[in-house]
Amino acid sequence: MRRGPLTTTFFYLLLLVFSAWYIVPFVWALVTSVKHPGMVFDGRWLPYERSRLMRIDGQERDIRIIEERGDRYLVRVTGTEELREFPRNEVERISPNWKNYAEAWNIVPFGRYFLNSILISLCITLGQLITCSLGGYAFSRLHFPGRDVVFLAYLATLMIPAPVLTVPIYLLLREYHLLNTYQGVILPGLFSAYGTFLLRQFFLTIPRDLEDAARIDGAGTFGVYLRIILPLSGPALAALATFVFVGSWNDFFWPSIVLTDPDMLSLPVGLAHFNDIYLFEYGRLMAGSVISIAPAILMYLLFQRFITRGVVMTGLKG
Amino acid sequence: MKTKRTLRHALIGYAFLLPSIVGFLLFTLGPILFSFLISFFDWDLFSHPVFIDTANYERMLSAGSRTWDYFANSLFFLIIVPCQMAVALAVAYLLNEDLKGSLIFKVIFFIPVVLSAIPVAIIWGYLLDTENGLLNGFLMSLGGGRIAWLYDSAWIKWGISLMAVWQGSAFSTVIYYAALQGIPDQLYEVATLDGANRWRQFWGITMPLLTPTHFFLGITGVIGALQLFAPIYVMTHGTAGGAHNLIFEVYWKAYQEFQMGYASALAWILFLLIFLLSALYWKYVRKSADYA
Amino acid sequence: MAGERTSRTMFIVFGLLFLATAVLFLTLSSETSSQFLVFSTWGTATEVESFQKLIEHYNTTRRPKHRVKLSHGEQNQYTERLLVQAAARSLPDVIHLDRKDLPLFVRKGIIHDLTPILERDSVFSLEGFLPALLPGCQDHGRYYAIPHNFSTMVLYFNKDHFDAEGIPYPDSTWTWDTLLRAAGRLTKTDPHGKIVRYGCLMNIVLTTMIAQNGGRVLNEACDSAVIASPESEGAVQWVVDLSDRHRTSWSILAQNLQWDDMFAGGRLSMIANGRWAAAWYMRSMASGSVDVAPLPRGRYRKGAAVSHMMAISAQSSKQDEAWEFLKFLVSEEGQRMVNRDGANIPALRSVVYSDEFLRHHTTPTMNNRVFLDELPVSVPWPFELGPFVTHYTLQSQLDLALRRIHLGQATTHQSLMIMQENINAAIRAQRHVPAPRPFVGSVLFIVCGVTLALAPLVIRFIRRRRHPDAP
Repeated sequence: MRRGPLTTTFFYLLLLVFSAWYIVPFVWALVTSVKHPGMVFDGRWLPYERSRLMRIDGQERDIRIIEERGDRYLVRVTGTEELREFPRNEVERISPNWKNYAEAWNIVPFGRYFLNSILISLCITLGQLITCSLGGYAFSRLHFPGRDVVFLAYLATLMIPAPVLTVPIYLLLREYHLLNTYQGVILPGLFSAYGTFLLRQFFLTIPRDLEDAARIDGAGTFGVYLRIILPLSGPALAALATFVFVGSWNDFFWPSIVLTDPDMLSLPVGLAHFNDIYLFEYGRLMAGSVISIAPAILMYLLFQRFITRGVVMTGLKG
Repeated sequence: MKTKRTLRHALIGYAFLLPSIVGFLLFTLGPILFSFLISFFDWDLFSHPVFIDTANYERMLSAGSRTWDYFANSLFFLIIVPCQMAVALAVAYLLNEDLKGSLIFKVIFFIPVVLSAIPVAIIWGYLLDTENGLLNGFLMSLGGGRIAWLYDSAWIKWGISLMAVWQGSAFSTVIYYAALQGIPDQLYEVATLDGANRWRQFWGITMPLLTPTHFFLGITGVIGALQLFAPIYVMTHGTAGGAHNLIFEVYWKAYQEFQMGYASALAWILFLLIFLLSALYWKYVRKSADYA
Repeated sequence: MAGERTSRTMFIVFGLLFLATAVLFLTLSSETSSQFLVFSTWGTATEVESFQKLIEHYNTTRRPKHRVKLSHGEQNQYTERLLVQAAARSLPDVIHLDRKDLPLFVRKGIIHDLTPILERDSVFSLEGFLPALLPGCQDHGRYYAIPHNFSTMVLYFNKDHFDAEGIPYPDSTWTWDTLLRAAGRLTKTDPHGKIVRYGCLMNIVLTTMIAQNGGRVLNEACDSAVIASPESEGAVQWVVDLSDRHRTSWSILAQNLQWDDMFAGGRLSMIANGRWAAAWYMRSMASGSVDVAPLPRGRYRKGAAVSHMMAISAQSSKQDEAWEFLKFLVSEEGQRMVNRDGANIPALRSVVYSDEFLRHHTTPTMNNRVFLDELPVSVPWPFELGPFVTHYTLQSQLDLALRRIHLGQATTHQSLMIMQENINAAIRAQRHVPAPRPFVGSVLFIVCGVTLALAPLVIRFIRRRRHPDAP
């Protein structure tokens, strides 16, 4: 459809408005993450720092800020009764506080948590790829008694609120001594009704002729699965892998219940545990949040194509 | 012969299903049945469960309990679904136009998909702050007054819905964008030749072809909106006030007051609600899909 | 052909990845807790580090039969996690506990009665501890924990602001009126009428003000809420008026996390806060700007204290070893190892009355004695919970009540009445002993549910039998 210049401008405007709405929280978080202590909630969009020394009568004197008076500061020279007023822009200057990032990085052992998160998410992703593809294949191509009923049960479980499931699963893990272990965090995540559902929908779209041809050539059921179904499902598997990886990476609730050893925490849980980031310095809290968001954004940029391509294949057939 | 084949098929089928179904039974169906069972008991995790028949359900539906308020709050959050679908559709449509610089826009719009709920809730908690929050700053510059977005029971649902739409529309945008990309250009070209303008093309071609997408996003949206918990908990520091919905009550009763039986009963009512709404939506969209 | 090759490569890659992860997964070491003596605590990264060092020191010098291992719980969920662990019988052996949780834990049988152990141990004595901390470790006269450290609430103030206004520094003679007058003078507005400097913030010690006025949140037995009394209402009204009427403070409708930043930035002159804030205030403000004073007195003089203690789990199979480790934790040596950041005050008299605390390296110029002087007159902060309610129940009800008041949705009296009602309902629910009932409703329920669920299938089955040729 050809676009007139008026329409184009209108579209650009709309895009800009929407982008502003999306991006404002990020910008605010970034700006706050470099603000100095005591200056975080001054209501301004730039990070300011107040100097503790001012040049008075040709000498550098140590000053205390007493009051803000509009666009001027009332200061007192330390150790004397002398009070002076200075314009704001002489006392404070724009200066980002990169120390927030250094401190946040030092307080939370991001490196170790990053590794833990990678380990846990990788295991869960691979596990789900296997169980969901096997299950999806069974539901889509194989005939066995009770197939549809079981599938319906899978679907229904998507709607169960999570808090209610935690206690029984926790007790189960406790029985098998899986608490505070990596296995305890990974095991419940190896199965997913959502993933099975997604892959089933996709497998339904693979033409039967290919399957029949393979069977004529002598392939068994597993052979069909391995040689026909799996290779053709590349995009869908990639999409599922991405969603599962991101989901388990960001998962806070379950790891926080199972893991208590400070060395084993995953990234979001570790971030929540170390209250230093939450204490007093909100600039540092934002810096920590930005650091924790960065890997997700990086991963997104790397896997972007898979997400959109895989979604075309699977999301629509729902 | 037939039964032998059926048996063999059954064995193969369940063999493939084995890893999946073991997990399903252990970690999903088992706990669900357990929680259904427990909803007929009174259990505080420490003592032995005491069988109290349907007392939990009676208490839930009794006059003094605030279950209806929580129910109403849960239903309110459904407003998120059409909002986020509308925003997502608009953004995806604009992206589909492939204007210059679309790449940057795409990155901006798709990123919230990968963000963890908690930092986002923290950031929005400050944006919605009464004294120094950006939203109030914006309102005041327009001449309005301050609103206690997170503390005033009249406004808190709107504040949280705004945040939920912000985060949720990203996923919907990805889906709509992919769907729009799948619509062949020829359809539009033919319509242009026939004299249809952009507006008619949108309602006559685009929308009907997107029906499966509407369906998918609608159902997942409803399921998600009725289970909205993390943002509420983080932004109000655990005191939900006017945003106290059914799932928050499930969490509260289970983990703050240790009344597992009652919490399970509530969870089952919530599940029924989700199920019914999804079924209704299914029926409705099926009908219009057949019509299209 | 190319497609086949890529699919084969993909398959091989997947296969290898799978094998690698499977191997990794199965060999991931996770030491079972029965080999260790588990010690659980909350804490910031620095505190955890200190505890880890203490544990290492203990493990290497004492060589206990079971080595000690740290289990970290996030502060906001610490109590809930312990309760879940207790239910699942996976409790740690030594538990770092807050005073507010003691009655509940005793009632649920989570912690061990230490009185017989104390009587048997002829060397260890409770005399070295600050006497004011001992009642908090007891329940009905028996000891369930040993004091570790504590924190009291004091009034932090910005000396520069006081000097500039010519107001004498706060001291023990200050009353609510004195505070209000000073706060009024310290509050500054800009030419547009917007407040650029607030005088005071007392929201954190609201429940202490209630006690200072003679009121209570829960009654003495902690089995009933009594907050809707004239004394409590008077105190709540006074704090509410600070923001709503006198405009020298914020209400709780502003994010409470900002207050510290505002104080450090010179936009707040006085704030009532705990010991944990002292080091950060000193670091973030010009040196010598900040000092502390006792809380102003109301009708009575009351302070506020948070106290932490060490307990042994009732489920532990290693109670003797747990007791040895616990003694180390609360000894002078152990106390010094975890007191580096100055966020809490040690419970031992010998440590606390020495320069170790009085000239603590994080707050050298502060009048640290004030923290100690507040302790003998302190009430628990923020609430005295008793065995029936959780902290969050009371806190959320209080927050909701204050929100109603500040938004004008109810008067102070009405709002506190609602709060009282809700808390009493929660206590009743906790004390309620369920009476078993026979299977009646539930059977009907299940039968109906199953019938409804199976009905479509049955109908379809019958239809198919009647019309076997229909699609």
